[in-house]
Amino acid sequence: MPPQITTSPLSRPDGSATYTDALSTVLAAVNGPLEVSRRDELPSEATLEIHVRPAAGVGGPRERWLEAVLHAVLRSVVLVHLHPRALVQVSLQVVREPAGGGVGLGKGRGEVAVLPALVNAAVLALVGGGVGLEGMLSAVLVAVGGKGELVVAPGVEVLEGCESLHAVACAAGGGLVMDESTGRFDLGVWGEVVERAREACLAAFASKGEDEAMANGDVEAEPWMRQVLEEKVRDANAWREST
Amino acid sequence: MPREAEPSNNAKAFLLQALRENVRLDGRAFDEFRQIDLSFGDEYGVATARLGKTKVMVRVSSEVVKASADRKFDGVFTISTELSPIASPAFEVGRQDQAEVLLSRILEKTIRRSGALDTESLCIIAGQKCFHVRADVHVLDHDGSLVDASCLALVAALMHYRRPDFEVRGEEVQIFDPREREPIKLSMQHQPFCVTFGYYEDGSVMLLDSTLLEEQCREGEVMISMNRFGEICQIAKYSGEPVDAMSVLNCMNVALEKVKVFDKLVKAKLEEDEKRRDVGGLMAELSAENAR
Amino acid sequence: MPLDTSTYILAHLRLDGRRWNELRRLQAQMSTQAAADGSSYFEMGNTKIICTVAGPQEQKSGGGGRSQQDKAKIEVEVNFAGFSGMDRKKRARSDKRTSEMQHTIASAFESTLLTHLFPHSTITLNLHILSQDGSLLAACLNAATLALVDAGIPMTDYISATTVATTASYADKEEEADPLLDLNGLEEQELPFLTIASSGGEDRVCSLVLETKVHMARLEPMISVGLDGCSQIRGILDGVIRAHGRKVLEGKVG
Repeated sequence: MPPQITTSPLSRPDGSATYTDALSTVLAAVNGPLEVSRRDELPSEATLEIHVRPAAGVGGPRERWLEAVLHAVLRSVVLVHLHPRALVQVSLQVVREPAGGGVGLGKGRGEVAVLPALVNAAVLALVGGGVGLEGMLSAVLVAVGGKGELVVAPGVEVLEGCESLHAVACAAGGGLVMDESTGRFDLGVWGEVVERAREACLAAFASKGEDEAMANGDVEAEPWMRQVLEEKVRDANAWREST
Repeated sequence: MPREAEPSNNAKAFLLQALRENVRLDGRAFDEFRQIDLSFGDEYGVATARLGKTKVMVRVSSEVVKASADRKFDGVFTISTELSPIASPAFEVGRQDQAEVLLSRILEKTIRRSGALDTESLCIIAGQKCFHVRADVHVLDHDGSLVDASCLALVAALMHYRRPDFEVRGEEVQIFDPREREPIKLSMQHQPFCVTFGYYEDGSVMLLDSTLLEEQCREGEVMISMNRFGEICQIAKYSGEPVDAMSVLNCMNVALEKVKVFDKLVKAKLEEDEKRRDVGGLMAELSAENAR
Repeated sequence: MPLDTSTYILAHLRLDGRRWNELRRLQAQMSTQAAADGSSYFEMGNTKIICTVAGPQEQKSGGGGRSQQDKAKIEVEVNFAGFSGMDRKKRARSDKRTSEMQHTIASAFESTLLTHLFPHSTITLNLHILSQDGSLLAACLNAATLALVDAGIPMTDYISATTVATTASYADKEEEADPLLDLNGLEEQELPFLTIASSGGEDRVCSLVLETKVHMARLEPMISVGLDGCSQIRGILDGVIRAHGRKVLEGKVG
């Protein structure tokens, strides 16, 4: 099932989006460019500030780690040089997490499992907020099952019995911008995982014409991100067509 | 940090002039709430309340902890209110804002001090184990009346939440997974709701459910929390121009009416949600009261 | 901490022997601290407070105060002395109750002080609580009024405050319900009560804080007794201020 997305659910932030997949739901809000405090000001580029808030409880080291990973990922696509001495604020609220914060999933897995949702929600909100991006970006979760089979965007049942978990994000050119893996796996498996993930990521915003996977009826390869954004653009331009 | 944008003098003057002519900018009556919307998540204890554009999500969760030494027969109940930049860029992370302190104090007084949740029922073994119920209030969109919306969402979430069932055998405690045994509702003693009155024109105009712009222009506010039996849990009039004692008393009657509406709304929505979950009457079968 | 106040109905005398509408002994002095711009010492029974005022003075630099350029900003700091309460408990700096109290006091005075006369400046109130025995917020407000008068900051009126409790919190015990004026610490723990502050003469409620569950039918008598208490206190404050003014005119104090 392709992920469920609501664009601009909130009225206050410059851009917002909710992203729901089989595992988690994340609400993202983007504000920017804003005035930056003296302490965080960077002379040549925009400061990217990321807040991750857990569904229950207050943020801890886990959230700080997620923020650090997201910062590196998003900085690679946001055109930070366009807005020197400014602030782009990305706030992410986790609404639903697999098995209540990854308690039942074993150590380290819950964090990795929620990462793709955070990345995708953040990117959608950035697009909604009109923050300049170098190109599109999407992320996907790949699980390697007990028998070595690869599952793209797994459900909770797969997650519980899997050997390793990989959160992978790819930018439009096919470049790998995030890879967080956990569990036991070897280099060969990892290579396969990245290949599959890259396909899935690129398919998310591939234009319909050049995408052959669509013809095969492969559901995972549906360009969900492109569809959502195209629809949003169409809605935003509706007034122009009607006049 | 960016500040909340101040409304322009023109916008203020327009709003105040309109109020003088008995008109609100969005066409509502003075004592009319915006569209109230309450929805529940797939999990127990997640409630989202909307008052117009204001949106608050509350998530209730629980864990088993060691009971505190000085309150042996009580469980622990905490409310956490952290305002994040999602609601407004003016809210900074990690710094306690005045608005945050007041919101958390009002909720604390309304729900916790008034004993809305029976904490004694959260005790598992006196002095050793108890449930720690925590409610996380996430303000998602801020367009005025934060306190009212948060309180509504919080009460709804508490009533919606089910804690895991447990069994005590001597010293041993077994906590059942929701899949093993149907979880249990929290025991609530009453359901308090908060109603905020904003006043203008020397107290002669009282508005309910102010939008952010109305909040920024008002002379002062009175926050009243009460339950449907007319028991007041909290009144707070911190700031603003003095008002007549009589008009404060009038507020009580209006608040009672609104609280009854809230109370009905929450109950209706809960019933609706229960029906949605109870596909094919499974609930009755799973209930622990049935003979095994 | 359950405490037996049920004897009240027998003799209509409270724990400390007062009747329902009696205030505790109020004692106040002004200009107690020579170094401050304005200061006062205020006693309400065993609740004892020192208040000092600094300002109006130039606003401290820093981002926070930019929003109010056209008026003076009022800052309040409440300090609890370690020996002030029954148990020597240290309060954290970020204590939300203290922070709420500070906000209440600051915003109460925002409506009576003529802050628009001092743009770009700050008025700082420091309240040191030496001894707590109930009616803390009310005592703080009264002490602050005296100190602000001493500092010569223009205001439209005094703020006088007091607390009122009711002996029955539920609707059914109509005949037993008596409002009690000016609570001490023990009564405060036992009974539902509210703090009321008034300014500008009759019936104008400046702040009103109620934190314990009480039925709405009890509220009307509580508020009217409270306002009555406020006007009594206002009279006492007025007396203190006039006596002090006379001394200043005679050149006895600086």
